[in-house]
Order: sequence, then structure tokens, then C-alpha cells
Amino acid sequence: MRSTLQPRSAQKLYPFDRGWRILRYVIESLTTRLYSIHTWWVNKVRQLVGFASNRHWFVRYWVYVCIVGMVIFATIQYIEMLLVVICFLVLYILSLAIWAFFYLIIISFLALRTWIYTKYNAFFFCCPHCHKEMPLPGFRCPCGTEQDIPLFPNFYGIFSHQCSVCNKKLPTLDRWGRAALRRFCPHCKRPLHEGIGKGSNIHIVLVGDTSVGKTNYLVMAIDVCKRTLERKYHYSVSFPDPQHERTFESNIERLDTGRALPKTPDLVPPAYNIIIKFPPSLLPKFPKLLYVYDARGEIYNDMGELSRQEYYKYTKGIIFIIDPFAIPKYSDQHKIEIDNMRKLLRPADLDVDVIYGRLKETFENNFSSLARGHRYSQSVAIVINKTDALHLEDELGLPAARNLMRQRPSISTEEDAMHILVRDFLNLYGLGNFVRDIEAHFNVRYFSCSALGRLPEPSDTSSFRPIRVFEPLAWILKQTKAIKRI
Amino acid sequence: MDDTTEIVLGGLVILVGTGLIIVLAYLAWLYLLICILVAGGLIGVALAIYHFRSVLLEAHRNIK
Repeated sequence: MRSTLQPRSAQKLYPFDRGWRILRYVIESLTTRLYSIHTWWVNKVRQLVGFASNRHWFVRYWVYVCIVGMVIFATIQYIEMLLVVICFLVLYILSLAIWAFFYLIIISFLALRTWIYTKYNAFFFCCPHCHKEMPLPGFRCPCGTEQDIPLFPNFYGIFSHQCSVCNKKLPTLDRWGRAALRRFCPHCKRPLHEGIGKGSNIHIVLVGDTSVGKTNYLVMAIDVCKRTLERKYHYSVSFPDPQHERTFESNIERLDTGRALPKTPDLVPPAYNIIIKFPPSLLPKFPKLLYVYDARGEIYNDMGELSRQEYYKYTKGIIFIIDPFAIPKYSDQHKIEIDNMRKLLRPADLDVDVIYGRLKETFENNFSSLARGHRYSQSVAIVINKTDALHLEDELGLPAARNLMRQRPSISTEEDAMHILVRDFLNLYGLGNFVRDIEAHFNVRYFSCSALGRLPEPSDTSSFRPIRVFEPLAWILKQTKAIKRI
Repeated sequence: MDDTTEIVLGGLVILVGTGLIIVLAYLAWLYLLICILVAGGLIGVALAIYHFRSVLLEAHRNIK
């Protein structure tokens, strides 16, 4: 006997499964019963024939009269019974079919409505840990049982499904209470926070070699972006995962005490999730869910590692961070200064061309439907970091941008001037091919910044003050429609 | 009334009487047949309802 705690298999709705099994059982049982009734009458007739065979002709005559009467009676009764049973069966089949059709209409309506809503708003469920897309996350009943059947209006229940262990009714849509249930990724089984699937997904990847300052940039940029968007533009920026929020806050505390962040430990990093809600005056009302990926720079050493980064197929925006001290021509020209400060500058090893080549290959592999040489829809913010060192601010900073604006009055904004300055800088130091190629394939904008604002000297415990970290992230957010006006 | 008339009348009475008996017997058989048909039909319907209902209940009890 099955224990009450033992899970049983999920049951489909009556008109999709049990009703038809019952129908089969009824047909089989009725056939047996009708046959036994038929056998009963045949036996009775045989008994009477046997009884009459040795009797007087007068008795035999009346027995035969009775037999004829019985046969007529049995035939009529049998035919009538058969007709009524057939009518009942037809009625039962019709009821089941109409019932099933009615359920199908409701299920199709709800499925179609959800599908249109999610497609229109670019909502989809993507695991921030294993980066796999899923049609629907797995759900856990309050009793802790994983639900095997997707918790959605389907053949197993329209408004609710029953937990296979505790029999609790679990709502099938968020607005009916499903949002309160714990969710998990059906691929890696790790829990999913409540923000997943609640906004238009926008995936942004940080690209760059080891030591270019990706993590420092990311934390500083999010911090500045959060404060600027909330205070100045009345957006709401929040972390749906409390773990992400705690990590972010501890990183900010660390940077406030003048310590740079350690290297990212993950070769395949979990996504950093951020929810951006528009101010009430702006449409759309549904939020944007950012997935920001900060993988270790080592992945660009090996195409095998890079191909494991599954999130590239969802990517809408890239922040390509360049360490100016890793540009060979610049490095050669400033060899002495760089060697003197090597420990503090920590120049990256890989050439920008190599990283870009592997990034492009990854895109070609992930978007193979696009013909080679085709422009990708993704936007790339090319950011030269560490401009605080070696007087790079004089070449790539605001004073240089203002100076350029004075020289060329056609340049109307500091951002445009910065774009030209950085582009010219890259061309000047031998990255012309890179500039031409990336511009031919992506929507590109150039920026310069300093994520830390100064060199990370161990003796200096004053907080880091980032320089222009907001602009690249804000541009990417605007290009990917995560924000509207800035 | 002469003998001939008597014989004719007697014959007629016997003929009509036999005819009446035949007709009545025929009607009785017909009536019996109708009764058998109606009863068979009604019992057939009742049995069908009974069997269908009991099999359906049994199926709902046994099939989960």
C-alpha cells in the first residue's frame, strides 16, 4: 500500500485521461455483462427444450409456446438494452469530448496570451548560474517537493495542479499565487530568485583580458549608475537576488577602504542581476532585468573556454574594456614608466586584436545564421580604462575633449569629443585594423574612464573615486533600451 | 320452424361461435405478444440503466 508521503504520479485532468480509461473499462465490463445475460437466456431455453422433449404433445406444445415467448422477450430486451447502452456510451463520449474541447480552449487561450505577452516584452527565463534558457522554471511546493509537471495551465490542471506528495493545490499562474512558490532551474537545479522572468531580459557582457579592471569597473559603474538613475532620472534600480546585493555592498565597502577588488574566480561566471524600473511618467510599466556577466580574463586565452560561455547567444550589449598599457605600441613608447609602476599598473597580457578575434569567432559560432561579414545588432562600448595613470587624462580625459571641441566647433557634446579622442588614440597606437573591423560588424561607441580614479597603492586607504564610469554603461543601457532618457 | 331451418341456424351458430372463439384467441395471443414486447422493452431499458450505472460507479471506484 502506498504511504501518504510517497509521491504518486501526476494526474491529468478527467477529460484527458481518466475519463477515457473509465470509458474503456465500462465498454469491457458491459460487454462481459451483456454476454452473461445472453448466456443465461440461452441456458434457460436449453433447459426448457430438454424438459419438453419427453413430454406429452400437449405439454410440449405449451412449453414450446413459452419458449417462443421467452425468445421474443429476450430478443426485445437484449436489443433494447444494447440500444440504450450504446446511447449512454455515445452521450458519455460526447460529454468527454465537449469537456476536453472546452478545457483545451481555456488552456490554449491562457498559453497564447502568456506567449504573446512574454514574446512582445522579451521576457524569458534564463538561469543566471548555468545560463540555459528554459520555457518555465521548476517550482517547489511549500512541502519542499519538486513539481515534475510544468506549473502552467495544461492537461494536468488549468487553475491549479495538485502536489504529488501533500496534495496541496498549487496555482498555475503568477497572478493566482504561483509567484509565492520557490523556483529552481530545471537544468542545474539551483534556486532562481524572484526577479527571473519578471522583466525584459537584457544581457550585457564585460570583455577584456585579466587585469584590465573589469570587476572594478562593473561595481563602480553599477554604483554610480544606480545613484544617478535613481536621484536624477527617478528610475528604480535594485538587486532581485539578496546574495547579489550583499556581494555588491561588500565590494563597495572594500573599494571605499581603498582596496581594489580581487580577480573574478569564475571561468563561467554567474550573471549579476539588476532590475531597472522606469519612472512612473515613462512607458513601459514592466521592468527590465539586466544580466551582467563578468568572466575571468583567462577565458580569452582559449577558444574552448570561450565557447563554454553560453550567455553570448543572448547578449545585447558588450562593454569591451581595454588596458592602454597592453597596447603594444603605447607600451613600447612608455616602457620605462610602465616598468617602474608595473606592480601598480598591472598591465594586461593579451593583445586587444587577439581578444577581439576570439570574441568575433564566438559571435560567428553563436549567430551562425548571419552571413559572415554581416553587421550584428549588438552594441559595443569600447572603454579605455586606467586613464588616471601616466597622464592619460591629458590625452583621453575631459580637458582633452574640451580642447578638441574648441578646435572643432562642429563637435557639439563632450561625449562626441571623447568618442573621437579614444578612436584616434586607438588608431594612433596601431589598433586601426581593430577599429575598422569592429565598426564594420557592431554598433560601436568609444569611451575612456578610470574605474578606481587612482593607482591602487596598498598604503593609501582613501576611497576610490571613479572617473566617467557611468557613460559607457549608460550608453549600453540606452542602446539596449534598458533606459529611455538620460 | 322446419328441420332444414333448424339445421341451417344450428350450423350458423356453430360457425359464428367457432369464428368468435378463433378471433378471441387471436386477440388474446396478440395481446400477450404486445405485453411480451412492452415488458421486454421496459425491462431491457431498466437493465441497461442498472448495468451502465453500476459499471460506471465501479469504474470510478477502481480507476484513479
